[in-house]
Amino acid sequence: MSQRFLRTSQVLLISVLALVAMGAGDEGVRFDKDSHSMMCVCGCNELLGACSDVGCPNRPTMLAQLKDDIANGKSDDTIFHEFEQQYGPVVLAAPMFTRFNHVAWIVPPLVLFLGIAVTLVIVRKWKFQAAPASDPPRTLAEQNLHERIRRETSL
Amino acid sequence: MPQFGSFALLLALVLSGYTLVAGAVALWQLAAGASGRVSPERLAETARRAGIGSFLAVSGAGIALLYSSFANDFSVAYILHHSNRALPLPYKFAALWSGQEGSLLLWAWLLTGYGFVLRLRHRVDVKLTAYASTILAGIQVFFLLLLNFAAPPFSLVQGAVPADGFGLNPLLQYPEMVIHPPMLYLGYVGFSVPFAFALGALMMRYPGEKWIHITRRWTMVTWLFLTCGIFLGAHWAYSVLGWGGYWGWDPVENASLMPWLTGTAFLHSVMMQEKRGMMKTWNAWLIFSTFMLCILGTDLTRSGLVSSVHAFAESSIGGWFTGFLIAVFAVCLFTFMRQRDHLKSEHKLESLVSRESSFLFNNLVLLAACFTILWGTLFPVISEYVQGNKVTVGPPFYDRVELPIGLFLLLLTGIGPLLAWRSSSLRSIRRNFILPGAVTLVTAIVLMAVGVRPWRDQAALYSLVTFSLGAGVVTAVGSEFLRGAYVIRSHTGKNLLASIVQLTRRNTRRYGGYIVHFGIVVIFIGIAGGAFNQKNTQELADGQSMTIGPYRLVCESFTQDTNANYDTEFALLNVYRGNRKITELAPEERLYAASQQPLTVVQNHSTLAWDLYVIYSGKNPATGRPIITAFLNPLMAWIWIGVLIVAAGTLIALAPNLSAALAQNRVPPAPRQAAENPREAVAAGGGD
Repeated sequence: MSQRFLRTSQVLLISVLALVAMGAGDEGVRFDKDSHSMMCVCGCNELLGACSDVGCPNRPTMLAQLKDDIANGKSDDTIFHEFEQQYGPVVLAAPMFTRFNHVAWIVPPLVLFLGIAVTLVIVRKWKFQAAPASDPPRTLAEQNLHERIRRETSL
Repeated sequence: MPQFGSFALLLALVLSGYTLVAGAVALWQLAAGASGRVSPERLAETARRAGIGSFLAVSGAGIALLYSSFANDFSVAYILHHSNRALPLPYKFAALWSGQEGSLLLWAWLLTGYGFVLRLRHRVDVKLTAYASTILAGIQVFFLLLLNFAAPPFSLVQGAVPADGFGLNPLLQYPEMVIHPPMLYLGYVGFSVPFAFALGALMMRYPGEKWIHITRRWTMVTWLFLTCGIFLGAHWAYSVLGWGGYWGWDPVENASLMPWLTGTAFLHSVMMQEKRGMMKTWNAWLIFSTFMLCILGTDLTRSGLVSSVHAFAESSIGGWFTGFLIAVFAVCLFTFMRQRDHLKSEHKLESLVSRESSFLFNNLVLLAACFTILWGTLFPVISEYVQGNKVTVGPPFYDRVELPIGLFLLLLTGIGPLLAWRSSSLRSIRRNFILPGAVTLVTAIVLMAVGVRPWRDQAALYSLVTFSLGAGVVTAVGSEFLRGAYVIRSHTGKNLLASIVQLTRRNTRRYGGYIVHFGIVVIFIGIAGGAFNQKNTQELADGQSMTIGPYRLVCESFTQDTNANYDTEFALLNVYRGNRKITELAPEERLYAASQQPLTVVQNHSTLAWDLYVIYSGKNPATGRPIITAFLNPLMAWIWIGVLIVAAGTLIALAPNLSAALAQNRVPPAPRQAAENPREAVAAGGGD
């Protein structure tokens, strides 16, 4: 049963990886992506690609500039730096990976991983300190009953 | 009326102050065994009655403001700034919470309203309710101080009174705005009640976990209100703002999501305290944090500390909220330090592979998600302090950081219910996980085979993972239902659906919870559909058409119109699928007369598969033709359906279980004997 389960899992996993590898290399739509990585500066507080202000004075200019930059073969980083120079750091919808801005990206996953690590340590500690006096282990009869419940009610 | 309103607010402050002081003195006398001229019991009773009176006084103030709004009394500055004569009646009602002062009045009214119910139901536990009532009175005093001295809603206009008001923000003139803010505030304010009970229980060293039973319904109802409020806001943004989305990670949106996340964590972890006497300190701080996050969110968004599209709510009252937040934290910390020995766990976690540990990890992930939102909201301020310039932390940041956390949470939604309390054996894990695991993998393969390309971009990858995990979680939840239903069917001979209904009624909390999980999966699937959004913008002359997805939009006409409230321009579009006309849409742009502010009115044709979302993007000044933007948003309806399922699941979880007597009549033998028979143990509903 367990070997068959393992083998089936392996086959399914390999199928997924094969499908992923086969299609690698598709190109995304840079314009759409980049316009959703910057903010419109008209004061609407919305992404450039999502600004819905009727008669927005900035959106058409900024989108045209972005279109030209992509057509001229500039990289995303270059485009973002140029926009940052022109409109200030608030034009970027997320902090770039520079100097102090790294902190913005590093802290949340760091907190999550530290949380998981601390939890694991605490649980291990609890496990070794578990006081059987106040919480007796299952009796053989209880274990058998538990197993019977599982066996008789499984699909 | 303004004078009556001001007096009512002052009276409410005095009554709340009395409830706080008299309640505190009575509780101190009871705890210390002291007694004054009046017995502590009688003093506490007067405090309770004053608390009830404060609700009536605030209600009076609310009625006074509503009357001023309906009577077009523009001598009241608040009415002048948030209403006008041509404003339709429902929005005159909604004007009550459309500005700073009115929304604070709504907050105070809901708070005293919750207090009113709590004080009327004091016989549930007189002493604990007295503690909770006194703590609530403290919160009431803060909001009434604000209303009386910092943001009075009945301030009068200086000089000549204008003939008409400045009108209501056009963005707020939408039916959902009549219910979204009250719903959200019911959630925000509602967390004051479990907070007050938790703090009160800690102060009085309440024996046992009965306070959790008392507050369980309060917490769940509050959570449901907050959930509905958040999604009503999302639906409003989707229907009114006209950018094709529903969530922009704006600080005000973030402020509502943070207490929802910690509240959700509390609802899960409190079960461990109820069942196993564990995580008492954790739970106390979770509910304290949830309440404090409600206050912090209000502070952040009303102080102007962070910029938000909800700019109408900014003011100078941030300092008051900061001071209150510090005071609340100090009280919580002081109480915790004094009484922390009371929060000692009765049991320890025995295994990493157990229901308890899945709750622990679920809490960890929810808190990480909450921290990430708080961090992203505050980082612009931190950056300005450290680097000297403000950066934007917008959707790309949250998409990259928050989505993986959300997916981890989705995974735990499926795993948790399959694990047993205390410890799960490897054999049972294999047996319970084999089907959901296989369904997850097969879904991923099928999706890739039909054209979902996870390597295309991050959005496609996340959507594939979401669909696959979602299928696995639904399988896990479904198998839990079926397992119990088959047992009931074998005993009663009922059909499967009736068996499922009976199973759910026997343990509403457990199976209602599963339905909530199912709803969350449906919401996740709806969100994942966003990876495949399409957009097309085109200028259309009469008779010209544009195409998006399977739809063809033909411009029938372009019209201008006017009424007392606004001028409008709209295009009439016929929508075809193939050669069949499906519907007519008329996206428009309005210019409101009183405020001179424009508003885009979105037109949406919604199906289970996708939304055809059309906006009028202005007209080309050179040609005079309308410019139409159309979005095809896949699976959008699933989000709103998911919310309905979550609401239904929560209501089921709130319902009492089918009585044991009734259950015994239908399924022999009696519960004691049932324990001998595994099938009947499951049929009886099992544990949570």
